[in-house]
Amino acid sequence: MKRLRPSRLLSVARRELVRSAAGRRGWRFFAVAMFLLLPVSALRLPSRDTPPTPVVAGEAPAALQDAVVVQERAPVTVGEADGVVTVEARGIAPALRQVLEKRLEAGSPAVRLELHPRGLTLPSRALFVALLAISLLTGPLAETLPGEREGRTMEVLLSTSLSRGEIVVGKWLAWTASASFTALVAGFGGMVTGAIAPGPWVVAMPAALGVAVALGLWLVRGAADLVGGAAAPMRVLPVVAVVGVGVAWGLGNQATLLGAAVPLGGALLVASGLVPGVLPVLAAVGGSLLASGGLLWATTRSLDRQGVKPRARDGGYVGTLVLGGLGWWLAVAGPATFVLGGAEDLPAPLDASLVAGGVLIGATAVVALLREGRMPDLCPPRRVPQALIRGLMVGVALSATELGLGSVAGPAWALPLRVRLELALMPAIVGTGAAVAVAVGSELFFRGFLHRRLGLVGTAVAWAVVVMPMDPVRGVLSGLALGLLQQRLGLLAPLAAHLAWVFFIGKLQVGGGEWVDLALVGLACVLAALRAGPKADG
Amino acid sequence: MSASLRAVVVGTLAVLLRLSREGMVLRALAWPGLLAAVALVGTASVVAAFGGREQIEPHVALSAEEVAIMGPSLDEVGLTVRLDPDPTTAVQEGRAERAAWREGEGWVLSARDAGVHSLRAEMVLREEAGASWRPVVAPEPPAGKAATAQAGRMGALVAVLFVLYGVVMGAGLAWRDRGEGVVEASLPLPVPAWTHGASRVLGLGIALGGGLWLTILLLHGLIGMERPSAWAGHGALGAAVSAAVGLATTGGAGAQKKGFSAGLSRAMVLVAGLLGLGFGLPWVGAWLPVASLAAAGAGPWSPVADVVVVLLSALSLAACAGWWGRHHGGLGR
Amino acid sequence: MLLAEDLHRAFQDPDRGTVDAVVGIGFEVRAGEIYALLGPNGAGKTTTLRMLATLLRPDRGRVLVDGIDAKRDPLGARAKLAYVPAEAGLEPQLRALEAVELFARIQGVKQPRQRAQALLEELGAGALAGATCGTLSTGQKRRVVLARALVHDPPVLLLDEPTDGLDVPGRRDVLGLVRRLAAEGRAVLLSSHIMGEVEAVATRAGVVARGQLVAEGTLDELREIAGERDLSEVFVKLTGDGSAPA
Repeated sequence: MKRLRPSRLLSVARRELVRSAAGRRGWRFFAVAMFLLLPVSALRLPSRDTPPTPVVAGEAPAALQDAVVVQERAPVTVGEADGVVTVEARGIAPALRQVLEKRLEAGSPAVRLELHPRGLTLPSRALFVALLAISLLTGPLAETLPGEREGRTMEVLLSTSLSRGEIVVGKWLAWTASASFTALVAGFGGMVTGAIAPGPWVVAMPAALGVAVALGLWLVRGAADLVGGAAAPMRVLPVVAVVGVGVAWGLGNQATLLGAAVPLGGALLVASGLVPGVLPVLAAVGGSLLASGGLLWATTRSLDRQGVKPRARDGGYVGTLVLGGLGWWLAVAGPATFVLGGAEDLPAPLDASLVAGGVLIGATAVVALLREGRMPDLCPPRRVPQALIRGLMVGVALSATELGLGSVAGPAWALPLRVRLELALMPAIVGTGAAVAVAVGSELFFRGFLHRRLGLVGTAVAWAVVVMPMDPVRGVLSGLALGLLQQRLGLLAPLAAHLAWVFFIGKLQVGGGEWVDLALVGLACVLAALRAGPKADG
Repeated sequence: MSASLRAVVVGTLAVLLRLSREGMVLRALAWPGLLAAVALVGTASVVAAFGGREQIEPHVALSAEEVAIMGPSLDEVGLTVRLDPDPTTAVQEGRAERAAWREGEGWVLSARDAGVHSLRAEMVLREEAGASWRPVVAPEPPAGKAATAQAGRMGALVAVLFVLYGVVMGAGLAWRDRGEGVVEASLPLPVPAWTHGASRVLGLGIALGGGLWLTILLLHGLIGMERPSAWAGHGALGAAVSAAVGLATTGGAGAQKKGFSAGLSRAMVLVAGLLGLGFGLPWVGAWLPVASLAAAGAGPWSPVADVVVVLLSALSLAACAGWWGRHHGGLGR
Repeated sequence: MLLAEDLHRAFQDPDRGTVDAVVGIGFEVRAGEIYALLGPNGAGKTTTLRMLATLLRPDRGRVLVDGIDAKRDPLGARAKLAYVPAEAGLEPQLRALEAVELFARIQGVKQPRQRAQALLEELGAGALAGATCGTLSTGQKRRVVLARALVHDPPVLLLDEPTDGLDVPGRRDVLGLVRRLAAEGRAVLLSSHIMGEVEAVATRAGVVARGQLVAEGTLDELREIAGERDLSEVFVKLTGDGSAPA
């Protein structure tokens, strides 16, 4: 961005608008945005000031009966003891409090509650509007650099005397100006109807849109066509806006200026009228301009290097393994970190986690198999009985140990994870859904997908690392047993073995120590490896 | 199996196969769930690594005179008493989370929030004042329940994201298929032209719906969510309908001349308008696909409205397939 | 095998009003014959082909595909023909075998995978079966597209500029394939503006200009009509188009 000549910038901006807004299309962006933004900003929605009728459980005293709705499963229970009305709850909603004070205390409460909430209110409506407005930029952003590439005009543009910086900043100017103009007109519409008060949004809104456009340009810098150019901003911009507002809100609660200075998020907060004062406006504009500058510089640099960002090579076994493992771990062991972090009431029920982990690892396998175009051999029809019998025998042998529940003492931090895994296996015994999800999911992933590339040992190790990390020796051995079954008889056999294993694991714990357990796993391996004719899978 | 049904099934599978090989599509589907889950687990891990969450001792600030009266009762319910020279300003000035002082015959309780600890303090104060009603702190809900409301909000946000993806994916598929001649090449097949539209709508619906279900399942597996299937169901229908809108606005022959962003903008307006309708007028939005997602913030869905949303969604998908047949069918129409 | 009678088609253009793209075109392509539809860009070749392929409804006229009236029974007609547009139209994410198999399955062909593999091998593209369509060269794509078109063994083949964008060996291979397909008893209609390839394969040709069929016959008959030996000159004279053909 060494050379930024104002006249050239303006000519690029003008060309940009003429190119993508020629003729009737010139009104498109403006009209579309107006259609959405004007009603939101100018219409005065029906007031929700009237509090809803409170819902309570229990026996409401006569004084309350016509002021509340009684429902059996309400979170608040009303009763009477020794002439005093009791309200059993974890919190009393303002509507109910109002009724109680009016009906039982004639409007002069014995204890007056005075609330001083900390800091800012999370701007849910402003966030929604911002999300809509920023999503609208997707189309125009796709037309900028990717549109030039698809229309083969990019090379012509790059071969002119314009600097790369002038091209990028010119385009940024064009769309920031149009988006700001549209948003400001919508805002002024709101001022006319009295729905919006004049305020710092006039300055903060263009700043927010400026940084959104700059981020969008950076996101589409490598896209080769319009669809690719639309997909990246659509995926990222709304999330960044939401996260940005969240961060700005969080920081703003500690220090207002710090929150306002968060690029995009701070400007959106200021534009929502939540942070009063001149300094926050300056901080919001400054933070957003600085971020815009950085993003435009990075986009220019990528144009200097020229060309389309090389496409990442599809998938790959390692990537799929990481993704599948992550899916399993986040769902099954992830909640244990909440306990470590002190939020003991946060984790979901184990059954839900197990189903999620099993389905996620299975879904990863299905997508990977689709991408590969090669489905695993389930089982040759004439060997189905053999696969089922052998699978059942191996499953029972494995469940007769304490596999995975490990006698190996792990580090202290791993204890909650281990406990959770131990507990996770118990509902699997009774919860058919969880058992099936886990067995099908992980067999499809390890034996169905990974086995072909990583081979028997590699898959067994990967299996031990991902789902059996607490007891690596037995993890690898059980992986070998299941892998041998797959090699000999196709995917049906390890599926049957795995299902039998999770169903019986709690019932057949005969393991009397390391050696007995290892002997049982060895037996499972032998059962799996017993000669059954030629291999099923190549 | 009739030729049309076979064409729809095979075509849908082909669309799914194609989508599974689009890095862009997979990234879009995986991104919200992974981001949310990694953020949640990451935050918890960081908190754990730095010594666990600092437990703020629940307290109430009182003046010296009032400590003598209320101290033992507050202590009994697990609240620490802090001595403060001026409890009336203690909360506003950040010296305490909670403070109480006498006012006439009764009390004033000043607090940051109206949560359980404040409720406990109010219970003691009301007892002392001999009030005609007093709160009783209900027992803690079972593990996982506490997170459901927060998780519900995350579910809504994720579902809205998938609806927006639906627009881009629908528009993108139609645009690329026309541009690369896939539409032209498949139309002379001896099956009605609507089958090509139906397979695209169904393929996109299944991919988006499946992705959303997995994301909701992951969030539900992490922190538990009230009625996860409702969020996933309304979201999946909304995403399929928005994909149909995207297909219809960029799939026509005329749309190719107007440019990709024209069709995309039109689709976005319609979908965003529906979301806005659900947000602004939830009692109307609850009956319409896409809008029902935004409307859910105002209260639970009703079973009758759910059925209407399902029917209207099916109708929209059929209309999109029919539109495709009419616009691309040639002699087959 | 393929009969076009008095085909008319007009379009509405916002700038030019009603444009008559095809005005009374009619011809017949018999089994085993390669009929070339010649004409400059914008003459109406593709519109004609699209009407024959049942993608466009003629305003007037009749199309018979292997005896089936395409207007009355378009699905029946489609089952008897294969249309290969100028653009390959292959799904870039699918592998070559999958792309051919997809069409076979939609058309209810028995043992679709085996049929697709056999056709790819027959057309010299067996090695491409596992390759993703998006990575194929123009010539390779053309082979896959032909395999896809032939998967249901149609008696009528419509090819829109089949050698467009191909290099010399690719062009030679495709023309060889077209000759072979006609020799198997199919009626082949191809549109082109390249005289060399028409001379190499066509048994008869029709010259289209401004939406009308201005001349028809064997290549020698066309030479005679135009009074020129060189086919390019024949083309220019018959179409009245100053821009010399390739």
